[in-house]
Amino acid sequence: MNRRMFLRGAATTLWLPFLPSALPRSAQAATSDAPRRMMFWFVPNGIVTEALQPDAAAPWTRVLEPLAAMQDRWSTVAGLRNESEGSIFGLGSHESCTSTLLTDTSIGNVLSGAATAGISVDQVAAQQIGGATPFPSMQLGLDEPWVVAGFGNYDIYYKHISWASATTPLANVTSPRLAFDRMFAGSDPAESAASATRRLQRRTSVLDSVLQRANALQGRLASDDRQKLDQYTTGVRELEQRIVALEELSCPVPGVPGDDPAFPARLEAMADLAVVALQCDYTRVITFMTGTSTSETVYRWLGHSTNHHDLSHDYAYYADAERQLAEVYAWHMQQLAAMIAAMAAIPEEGGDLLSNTAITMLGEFGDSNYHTATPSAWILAGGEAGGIRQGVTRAGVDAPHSNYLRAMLEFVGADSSGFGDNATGTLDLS
Amino acid sequence: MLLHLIPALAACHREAPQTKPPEPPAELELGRAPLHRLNHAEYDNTLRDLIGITGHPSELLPADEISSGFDNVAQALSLTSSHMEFFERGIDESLDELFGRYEITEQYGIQGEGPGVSYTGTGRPEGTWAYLIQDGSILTTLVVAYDGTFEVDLRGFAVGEGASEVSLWIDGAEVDRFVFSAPSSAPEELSTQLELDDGAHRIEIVVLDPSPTRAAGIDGLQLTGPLDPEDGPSSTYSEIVTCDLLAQTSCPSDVLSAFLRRAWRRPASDEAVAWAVSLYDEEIAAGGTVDDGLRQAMKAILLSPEFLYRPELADSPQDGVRALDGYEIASRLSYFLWSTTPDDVLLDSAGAGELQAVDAIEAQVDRMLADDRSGALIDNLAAQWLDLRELEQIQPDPVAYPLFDELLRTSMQQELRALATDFMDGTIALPALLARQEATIDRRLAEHYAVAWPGGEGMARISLSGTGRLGLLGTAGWLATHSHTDSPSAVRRGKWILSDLLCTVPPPPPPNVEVNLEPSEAEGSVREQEEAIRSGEPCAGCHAVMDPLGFALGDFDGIGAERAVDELGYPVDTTVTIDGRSLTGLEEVVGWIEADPRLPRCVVEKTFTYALGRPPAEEDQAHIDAITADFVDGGLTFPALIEALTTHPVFSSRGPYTEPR
Repeated sequence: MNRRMFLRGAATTLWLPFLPSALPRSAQAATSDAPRRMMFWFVPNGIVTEALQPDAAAPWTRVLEPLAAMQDRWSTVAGLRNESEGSIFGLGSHESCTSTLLTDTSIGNVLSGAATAGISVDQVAAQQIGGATPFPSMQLGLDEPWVVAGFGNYDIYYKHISWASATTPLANVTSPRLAFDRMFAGSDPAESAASATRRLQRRTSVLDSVLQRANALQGRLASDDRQKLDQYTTGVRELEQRIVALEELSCPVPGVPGDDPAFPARLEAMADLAVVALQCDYTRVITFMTGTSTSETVYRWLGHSTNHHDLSHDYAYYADAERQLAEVYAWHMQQLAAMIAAMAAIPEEGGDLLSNTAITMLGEFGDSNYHTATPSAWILAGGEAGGIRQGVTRAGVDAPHSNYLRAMLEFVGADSSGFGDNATGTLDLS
Repeated sequence: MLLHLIPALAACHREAPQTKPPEPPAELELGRAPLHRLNHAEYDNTLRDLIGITGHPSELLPADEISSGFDNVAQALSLTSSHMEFFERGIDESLDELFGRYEITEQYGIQGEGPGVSYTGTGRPEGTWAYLIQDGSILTTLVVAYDGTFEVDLRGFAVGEGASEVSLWIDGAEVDRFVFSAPSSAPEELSTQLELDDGAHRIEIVVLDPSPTRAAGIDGLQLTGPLDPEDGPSSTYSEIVTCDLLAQTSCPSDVLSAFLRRAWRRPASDEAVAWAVSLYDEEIAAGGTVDDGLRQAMKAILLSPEFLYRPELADSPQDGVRALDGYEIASRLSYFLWSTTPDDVLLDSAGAGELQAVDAIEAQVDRMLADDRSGALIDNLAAQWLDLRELEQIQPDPVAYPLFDELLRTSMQQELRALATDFMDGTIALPALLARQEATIDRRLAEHYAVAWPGGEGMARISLSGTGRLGLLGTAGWLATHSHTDSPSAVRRGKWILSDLLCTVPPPPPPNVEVNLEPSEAEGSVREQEEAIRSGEPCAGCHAVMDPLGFALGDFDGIGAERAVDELGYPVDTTVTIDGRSLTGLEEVVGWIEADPRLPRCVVEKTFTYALGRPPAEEDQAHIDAITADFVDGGLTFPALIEALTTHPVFSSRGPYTEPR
């Protein structure tokens, strides 16, 4: 039975309940300390700060309503400053606020082909704790229409929040089906151990052999080409580790995500996969971009006909746009609420999956009309097992946003020193 | 000009040219691109030409970064472990197809709402399903990767009294009719089977019942197939395996050596052949068949850096200017003109040492442009330069533009492709690209343009004289792409003309001034209100040139139809002042653009960037000037530009290493 046939067969299976007994071996073994995870849920075009104020005026009052049922599992953090937002144009912009969001590092003024940002917080974490899982980190996203600004070389800064290095932005996997496939393709429960070993051997043998090619080629290249080939060598090595690690995991295969092209269905499917990935220890680090900065998705299922990016400016002038933007946020909160409820229902050492996972919902701006990220307000859910206090309002923290990001690193047990150009310490979330 | 925006590239560490014959002109200075990874189109096409696959394995890969307007700029093409993961999978699936062990049944589906789904008449999305009543229809395009028999499953229900009948049309022909009588709480699934070729298919579901009290709800459509996948090796297998792997001991190394030459675009060294054969042998020793062995070796060849990149080797880490060898020139030619790997003719020519001669390059270029594979210039160069790829994505507001639907989008795409093809094959020169007073369009666009349709189906060439519409900037596709969803955009149109026809890129707006204008009727025309906002500092500097170009095109609305009044009902004023000259309407703007010497140079810059996978550096500016002069002398035809570029030393030389800045 080949992979595709297997997947087709699996298409009719329902989501399996994840009982503790069905947990992967690695998670079961971790009786004393369940793995700590971090996730960032990016809402494109920012979240205006007043929307997250507990005493917000209409229409923002409705924004946090969907999260009310989980009241004690999340908090708001307001008053964060992105002091790198002015890189390139001197003031905040879609490109600078997006690409400094998880880095707090100035980005380069690109006119000759190369984009430079900094390493992002998820990648700092991945480098330190990612070795324990098949995917050191996952970049999930949704492919949504956006303003192709046409300032050619700057496009790259709209599309990524995760940067492996100053010059390597990490692309998002935007198809739920593909995200599923990466984790579960080949996991055929009917396959014999001998056959699985043989299959693994074949794959690693090819990867070993192409590494030989790369090593031989390296010596015949100029320095600039060698830097490119280093990406290849790293990529092959990481893939090899992943293949081996994937064989070690045994997680019940959930249903294959459907092909429904509607945005709500894709977002839900992706969020479901994120939960599975965290639960089964495929990864401990996830970024989820629900759209590219300047996303022009029209939330038609909410009755809207103006696109999200336009709303993110128009709200400042027109009450109707303000109401619609609040509905967009509330809709995202509803999705977040569904995800954290699902995670809270999965028992784990230290409480549940949610208490071992710090989830941040954030946007690139705190004021989307003026394109500024200072101040910003974010939502933080879960993470109680690591001392994060929930059910509170953190207003006016007045700190560089990298202080918050450092707290996320420390939550997962990673060294945060040196992260963020403007960090002055670690934000106390206890 | 771009010239002014590119910081000087420090020319440090320039070393003496190497002694490889032939020498580049001693004084040659030029920029260079780093190691070039195959981009999506190149990877797909290369696998197609090497092993005969029909699919698009690049669909698995992360999107290519776009830089300097193109997705083939070497500097921006990175590679991560996700790329490797999906390269491995795509190559595995391609080899499945070659060796005939594939199960290619795929499912394709649509539901009520989503990209690429549109409605006509009274049809409309209702959550995740489609609501069709009276003359309503739902329309979409699905692309299938293989030929064969497909099953179509339609899930739906009746709304209102009694049963509802719908008709399924594929590619303009009715396929079947379905009667739904189930209620919305329990939709029923009805099926039929049909033959499809690989490629895109237009699928339309039309309600047949004219009653206003009965509607059909369409919950989803799914295409599954092919149900009869071919088994056994594909026809390419016998072209690759030309001897008996079991009986002839030299066969494996012969087959792999020949495959290596095609895959790595140069003759394989003995060492490389031995490397590939060892993978073959290893697999056989582990109990595999000869096909298993061959497959394992081919997989390694296709996952190697020599395949996934196009290496141009250096003698030292900080190498100087050198002339490319014939195989490197062959690769540059084929990836430029075809977006794919060199064929045997090119490799043979390289092997015979011919490609260093200008006349041999000219002969190859002529041959290659006449080949169907040169359609890649439309798909990749023209489609990105002229924003055809964006035309695929635009979502005009159905309230502002009820006339827009997927059929109109297709008609727009066809016109733009036809125009681009005429330019790129030399049928028309650059001036006519912008000023031709005829259009190759179908009936739908003829109606859209309010010109008489001569009758018949398909495309026809129709005179536009007297309509005020002409050339590229008068195509509905270009006009619609450079608009807001509910109105034309003077800024987007003007900015494109400046940056993509004149290569004068306006800087991005200062970040805190992006104000989305919502014009109010009391305060004058849309243009007056926009001008009032942008006439102050800091906007005026850039908008003073950008906006007038766009305002002059105000006769055309957000989907490129002619209009007399703006969104507020004010008469459209298309008279503008540019460079102190008064211009009115599209035709005079086109005249102004054509008189600008930046125009031909900009077309050269765009083509140069695409051809070499890098934007021109400061050292290249003189070459751009020289190629532009040849382009002008050659009558401003695109083939003349290609010839000037491919025979220039900048094309057949590699620039020196420069320290990263």
